[in-house]
Amino acid sequence: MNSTISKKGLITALMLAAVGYAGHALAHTAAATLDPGGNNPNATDLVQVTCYDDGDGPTDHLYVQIQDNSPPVPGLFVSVQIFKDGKMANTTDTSPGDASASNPISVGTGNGLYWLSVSKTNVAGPRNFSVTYHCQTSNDVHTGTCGPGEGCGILQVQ
Amino acid sequence: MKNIPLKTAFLAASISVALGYSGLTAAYYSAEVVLDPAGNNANATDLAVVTCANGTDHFSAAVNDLSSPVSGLLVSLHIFTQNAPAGVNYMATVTDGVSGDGGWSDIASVYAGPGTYYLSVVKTNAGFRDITVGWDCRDANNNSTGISINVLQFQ
Repeated sequence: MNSTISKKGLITALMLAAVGYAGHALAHTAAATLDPGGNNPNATDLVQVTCYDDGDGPTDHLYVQIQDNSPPVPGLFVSVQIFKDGKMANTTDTSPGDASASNPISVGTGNGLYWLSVSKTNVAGPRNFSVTYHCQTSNDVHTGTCGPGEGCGILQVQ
Repeated sequence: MKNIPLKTAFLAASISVALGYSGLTAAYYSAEVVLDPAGNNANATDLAVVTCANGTDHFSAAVNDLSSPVSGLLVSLHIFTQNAPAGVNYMATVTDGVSGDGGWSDIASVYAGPGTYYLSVVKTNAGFRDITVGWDCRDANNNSTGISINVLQFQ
């Protein structure tokens, strides 16, 4: 039940939003709750993001940040990972609940399918988070991006 | 210098040892490695690709952070596959929640049968971490099956 509820929550909560961050015409932000039942210390969400040339140029890299919106709990941190073609990056929001996001990460392997996961350190407890993701050209121009908010792959919601 | 032989160990299929963890009743392969040896890369990520032989039911792994505890600095391990059967999770995560105590994380497992898995180790902030990773491909009876491993990324 938790999985079903959280999946619906993720799908319905995901939204495409324009945000003001330098150098990008559009940003994609997905909000969800990891471990909504508060009983899965190793909860991991996994989605796919497809990067393509929408006329603004071919993708050079996928750019991602995560923000943990829940109050701080000792030993409990939320991280996001990008994987594609044998390359991986990870970043953590080290100050939960303060409205600031993690350091950004990117993996640069061109157009195609990127795997984006969200995990937390092993303390049970729901974490409300938002992930910002966008495919960018080599000049950091936003280009074609299809993530869960646009109907592209949600593979695992815990 | 310390990380060079450790990298070699990781690259070279490592050794099989019994891990001191109650859930690991049989030998796992393991290697000791250093994550973020310079201590200045909060996003350091190590990544290896694993091939499990026919007869494999699942791939399992665990991590043991040997370094002294640092507030806000924890080590996690991920297993990931791109080809999970219907109803099977693609990815699993575990964290060594108590650094430096000699204890292992929980065991992460992904039940995607024979084929390719990815194994990664990450951490939550900047800082040198001396870690041991244990892993193995297992059949449905938790017996070891054939495995090969190649490191893709060392940070």
